[in-house]
Amino acid sequence: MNLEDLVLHHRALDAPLMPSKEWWGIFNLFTTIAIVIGSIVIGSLIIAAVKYRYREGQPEPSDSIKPGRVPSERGGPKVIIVITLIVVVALMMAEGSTFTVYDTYQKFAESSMENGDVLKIEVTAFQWDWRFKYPNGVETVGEVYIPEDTPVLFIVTSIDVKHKFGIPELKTGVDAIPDDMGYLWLYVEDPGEYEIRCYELCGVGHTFMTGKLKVLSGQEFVNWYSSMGGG
Amino acid sequence: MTEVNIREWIMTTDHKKIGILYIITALYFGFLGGTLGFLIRQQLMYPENNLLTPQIYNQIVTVHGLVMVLWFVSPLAFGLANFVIPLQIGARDLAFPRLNALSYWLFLFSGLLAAVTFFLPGGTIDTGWTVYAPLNTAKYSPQPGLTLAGIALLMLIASVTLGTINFTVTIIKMRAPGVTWSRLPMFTWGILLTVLLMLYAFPSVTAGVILLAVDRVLGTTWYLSPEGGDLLWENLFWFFGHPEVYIVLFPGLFAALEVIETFTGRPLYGRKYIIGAAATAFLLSLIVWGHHMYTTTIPPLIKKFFVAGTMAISWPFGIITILAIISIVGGRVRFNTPMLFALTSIALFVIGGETGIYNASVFLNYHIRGTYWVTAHLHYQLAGATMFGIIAALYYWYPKITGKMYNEKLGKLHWLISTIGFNLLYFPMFLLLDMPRRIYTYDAVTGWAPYNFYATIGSIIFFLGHLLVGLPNLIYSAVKGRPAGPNPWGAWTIEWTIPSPPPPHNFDTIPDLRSGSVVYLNGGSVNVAHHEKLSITPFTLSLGLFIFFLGFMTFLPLALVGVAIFLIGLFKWYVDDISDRYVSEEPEGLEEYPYIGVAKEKLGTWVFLASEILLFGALIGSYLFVRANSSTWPVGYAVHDVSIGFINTIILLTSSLSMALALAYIRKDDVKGTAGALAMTLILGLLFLIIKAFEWSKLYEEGFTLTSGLPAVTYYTVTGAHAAHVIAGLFGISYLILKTLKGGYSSRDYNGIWNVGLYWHMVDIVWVFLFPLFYLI
Repeated sequence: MNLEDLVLHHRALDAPLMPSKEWWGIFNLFTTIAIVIGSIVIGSLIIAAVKYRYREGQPEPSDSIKPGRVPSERGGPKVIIVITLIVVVALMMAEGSTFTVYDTYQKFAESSMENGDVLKIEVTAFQWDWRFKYPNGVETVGEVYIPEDTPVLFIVTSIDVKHKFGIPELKTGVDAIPDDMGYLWLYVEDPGEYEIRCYELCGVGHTFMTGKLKVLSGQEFVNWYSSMGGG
Repeated sequence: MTEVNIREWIMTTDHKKIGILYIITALYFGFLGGTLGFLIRQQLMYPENNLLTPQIYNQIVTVHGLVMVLWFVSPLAFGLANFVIPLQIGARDLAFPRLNALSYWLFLFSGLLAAVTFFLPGGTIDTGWTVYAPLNTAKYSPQPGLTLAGIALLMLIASVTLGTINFTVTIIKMRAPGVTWSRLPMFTWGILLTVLLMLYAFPSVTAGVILLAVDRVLGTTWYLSPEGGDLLWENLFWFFGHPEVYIVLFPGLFAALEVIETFTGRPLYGRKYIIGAAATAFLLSLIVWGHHMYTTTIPPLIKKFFVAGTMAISWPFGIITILAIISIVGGRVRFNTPMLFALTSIALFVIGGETGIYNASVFLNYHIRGTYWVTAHLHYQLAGATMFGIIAALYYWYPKITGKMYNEKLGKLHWLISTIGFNLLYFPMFLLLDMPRRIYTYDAVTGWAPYNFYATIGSIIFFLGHLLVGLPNLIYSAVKGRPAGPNPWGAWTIEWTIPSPPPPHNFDTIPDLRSGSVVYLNGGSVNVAHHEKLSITPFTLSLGLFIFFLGFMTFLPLALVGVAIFLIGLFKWYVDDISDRYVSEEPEGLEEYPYIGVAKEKLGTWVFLASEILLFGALIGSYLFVRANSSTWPVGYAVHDVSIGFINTIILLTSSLSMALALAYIRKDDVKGTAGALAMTLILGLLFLIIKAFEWSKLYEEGFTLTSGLPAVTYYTVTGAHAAHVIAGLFGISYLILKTLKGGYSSRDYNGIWNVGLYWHMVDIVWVFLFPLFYLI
């Protein structure tokens, strides 16, 4: 499939693949579970401590701690089993969601790769900027243009130290490791300008190692691409 | 307070004094590291702030992380452990008091060495505390300060390794009668799990730092080559790095649980299950290091494995938390300062744990990694759950250590300020979801300014709370506090049955817990005279190393002075040992079945050998890692002379035989035969080294040099590490020969020969692996 067909006549995707949407989905699920469980646990901690606070003249429990005496054992396996099950169920919920999304994402990545219907862009990180190379040899530095509604694969490496290629608004990123290749899939529905940032300390210029990801409509992209000598 | 005798403190081998030294030194390093953290917050308070340059900022960020984890939190816990654990298990000291002193001085001087690096040209280490390759190589970070910081880290690891051996042997071997595993106090359990985890985790980072030092000093290319590089470092580092999280956490968490038990006044609910859960987490922590590497290029299936492992590890911690809460139900909770800190520790642990689950999800991690979310999470665990637990422990044992009571009102104020300051400092960082870590400034348009501002206000409250309320309380009360009495909290453990502060010999007679209550054997009358044995050598050896390494990186003649001091120390140690000055008298009844047959020194040797084997495992693993990543590796016999390697193998195996012979002779009280067999071993060891030197020089002439590529680099590094062990073994053997000739060994006492012999066999066995790995395949 040539690039113009890919960008302008892309296939309908059967799975939601915009990373930021998936990301927020899991993040919100985790946060809901965390807030509910956290409130229950910390709440019971406070309530228990206050309710069973020391009061003058209160009768001593039969198994109370005595100086120099080994305390008795308490707590049987039944309670432990119940607690274990509760914790495991909560974890399974979180784990399940993560695996499902991760699998979908991987499958999409692999099938796009096989079908070849993907725009591949090579990203080379260096101290302290990003270089992008398109299939037709066009190179840009510090900013990269991609078409909307099209699967894009960034193949990320570095020529010096380790960096992390991250696009904070789209909630994704991958390490840029010298002599190695990291893969980052994108599928962006909304045209616009997104910031690229380095998320791994890479020397004194780390703070300002930023770039721009510009998402164009299909036609705009094709025009830009051919004006740069591609097609 | 009596006058402080400086000489006595420098030469002390008493676990209580060393514990106090540890606590004070760790608090001092904590103050330094905390100040660095405080500076970070001041710089980030406003957008586009110019308080610090990026060069300085990167150094501050890096050293803050390293110091807080390695020179503050862990040593502070081990200071408490030093003081408390022998008392809790009814022992008079740790198993090896002089090694304990050596641990302390190595710790102090390693910290000073790390501090000096700030003042070297080009500054200190500035790579972030994870020191990723290849930013850590001389190519990208040429400053000598980084190399020296790495060496300081190796010195600290030496201290940690000695501590690991000491605490493991002490807790296994030195428990008073009746102090069974199920009766072991929670804090002691926590420290036992911690040292076992240290034993397992540290050799990996030791190997990592050794390779880094070799790269930086000798110009090899472990971390600059595509075959090694970032992933080699990350595997070595995180194999250590994730267990390290629990190494730091366990002492604080278990101290908090012990405090909760005491101040609730009832036994912990499901105590056995808490320990079991922690042991499960211990085991799982060995297989989760990959969750720090989701954004690297490791394959998807392996990532999933690490996701499952990491999610699973939150399960035991969930159980511990819930059991801690159930423990409170039906109790009589007294809200003293230690209890307030302990309960807060559990609450912060819940938040830190839950946010950790986010990081475990590969998909979330793609973005989260490298953002302030991670900073927030790890500080909830380390500066929150762990630190609050350790502060609880500090207040809890303060009356035992000083004999005085701290001021309760100031203590509670300290808790209130810390809790408010902490949450104001770190909670906003969760909301800085997009802000990269370790950037020294940010634009106003990012919208990050308000959260950073809150965090900085929080840092001021948190920092000043410790400095102006917590610390003055501890210092002032040590002098002016009211006497605490032996057991101010009504706690059950053994340390509270003796006066505060404890007498120099801890116990007049050995406590006995077999009946379920503490009773003192012989009706409490003194049955063993206890004299603390002062020794200057731990200080001398550590000072010598400090001066040597400092000179090595700055001014070479200074290094010679260091070597001289070190050798004087080593010689003094030899002399002391040969005269058996430091052999401790063993009180009766300390040994617990089934460990009665194993001498302390033997067990210590085994623990040490375990760490050595893991170290070689990591080094050989690194070699196999780079070799597997290479497509053009020459087969061993094409490069190396197999016959020379084979001869050396035979020589070492023969030396193992002669070593075994020495043991057989001494069992028959044949001193001459023993000395002869040992001399034979020494000669064979020397022969091995001479042949090796010849072999290396020949290889060098052939162009097989440290800069000629990885086959040479791996060969020289790994066999060089082995040769260094051979040399150390020869020192040990010559010591044995001297002592044998002086009549120091007999058929009743030959532990020294047994221990050095075991070490020697280990060194030989390592070679049996190295020979085929380098020469044959």
